[in-house]
Amino acid sequence: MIKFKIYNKSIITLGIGLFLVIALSFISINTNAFAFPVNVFLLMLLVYFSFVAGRLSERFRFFSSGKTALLVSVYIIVLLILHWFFYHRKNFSDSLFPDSLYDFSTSALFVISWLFFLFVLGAVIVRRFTIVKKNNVLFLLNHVGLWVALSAGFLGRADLYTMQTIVNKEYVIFQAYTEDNQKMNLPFSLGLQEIRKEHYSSGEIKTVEADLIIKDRQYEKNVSVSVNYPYRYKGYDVYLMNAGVNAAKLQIVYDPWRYIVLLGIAIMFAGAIGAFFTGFKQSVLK
Amino acid sequence: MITWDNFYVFVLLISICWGLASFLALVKNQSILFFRLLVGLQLLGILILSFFIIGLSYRLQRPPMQTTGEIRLWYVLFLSIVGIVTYLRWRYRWILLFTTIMSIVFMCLNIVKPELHNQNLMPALQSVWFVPHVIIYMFSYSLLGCSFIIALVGLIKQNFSYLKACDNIVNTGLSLFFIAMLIGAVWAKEAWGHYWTWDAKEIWAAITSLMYLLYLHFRTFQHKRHLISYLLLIFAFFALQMCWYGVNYFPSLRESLHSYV
Repeated sequence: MIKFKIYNKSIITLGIGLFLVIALSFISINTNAFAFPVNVFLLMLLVYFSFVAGRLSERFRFFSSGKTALLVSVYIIVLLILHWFFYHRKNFSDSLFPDSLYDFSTSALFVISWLFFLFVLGAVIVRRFTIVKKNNVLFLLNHVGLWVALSAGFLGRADLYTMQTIVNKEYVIFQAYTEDNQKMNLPFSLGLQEIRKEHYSSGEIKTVEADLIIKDRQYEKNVSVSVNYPYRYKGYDVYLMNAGVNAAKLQIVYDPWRYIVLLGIAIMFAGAIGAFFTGFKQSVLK
Repeated sequence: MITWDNFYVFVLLISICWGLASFLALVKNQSILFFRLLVGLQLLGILILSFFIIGLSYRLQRPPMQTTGEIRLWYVLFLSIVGIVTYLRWRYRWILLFTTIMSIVFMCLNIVKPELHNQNLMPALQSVWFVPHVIIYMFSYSLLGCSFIIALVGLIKQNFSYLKACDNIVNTGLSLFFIAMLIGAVWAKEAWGHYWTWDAKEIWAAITSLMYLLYLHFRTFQHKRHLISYLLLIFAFFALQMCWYGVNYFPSLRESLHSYV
């Protein structure tokens, strides 16, 4: 009888869990809602809850335990496999799937799970941060770097604008279009002067470069952009996407969080180099 | 002149060297002469392959790291280096046999799939990040490949003492994997404007790194559950194959920014 009850309870829990997973997958979250200052507020909340779970409350210590870290890792792996599965969305009929599955990273399931992952990671860091030991340095570098890069990358994307525009030799442009076709004003104008291309003997393109003139009230400069070599001005990065004979397609990215993500990457990089040289026992701690 | 057309000659010579070295490594109670001979043969094979890679770079007038076939060359080179280093460090007699079989399979794939060769370097790949990104990834793949072989043998022989070697190899391999991935993220920001775009290749890179991280954390917190540790390593290796070339066989790669790989 007791076994039957436990069995029933497990089935109900599993059922509710599955229902929640499916329901949350089908709800799309508008990530623009996280734009500044909401993302900063969320970040502060994350830090606060991480402190509560990692340091302040014994009751919530479970969230910063090794077992939770393992469980959350497995969960995130499953989530990413789902993400990859829905990456094939264009191969399915449009009517089959809701909007959230066209970009799984905007689904409620992904957003909530990612925030939970950051919370657990934060709690683990806080729990370890107070123990000052020599071999804690690598642990902190790896985990803090990951937390900074992931949280800034995830919450900062609401402030990130990716725009595209086409410039030609005839006229200058002041505006560009976002991915959802919104017209955005730029704080400068862009004009095309020249396009240079080099070809291999087989006819394939070797290099392509566009000479642009960038201008605002105080500034006027001739600059060159090519693939891998963007030009940065007033927080905007101008990338060369494609070039014809008289026109070039540009991508303009405004990313105010770029240096915070880069900081996270730099910390992780230091941690990875440290782990490479010190070996397993030193880099992953009991 | 070194080209893909005469690659089969190099494969033959390398296979003889590594095959003999693997055979000698299997012999129990080796004499010093046997030991030196097998190390010498393994190194000779590595030298012949390095010679081919240098010659091919000269012929192509660029580092051979663009096509799948070229990248396989680096994988084979690093796998053979990792194989001999693992043998010298832990003296697993079977390790050279497995790295040699794996290397020969990858080299033969290059012979039977000639359409993969001789492409020019496209503008997107002309970056200072390109060489370190690919080389470090390949070194990491070969280390993680080696850990897979050890895990598989350990699982079949039910010998859990190999896990110590796996821990060290995975730690080194994963560190390199992260270094290559972070270099890739910085490069992606310069090339496309985003550190991470969640395309098919990147999703599988995240899955792979998480699986190996899971292994290391599992070894830390559950270090007595050896069987699961081996199984984790085997699944992680499959994720790695998916990340490396598995995604190429799915239609999603057409949408991917990594579609030239």
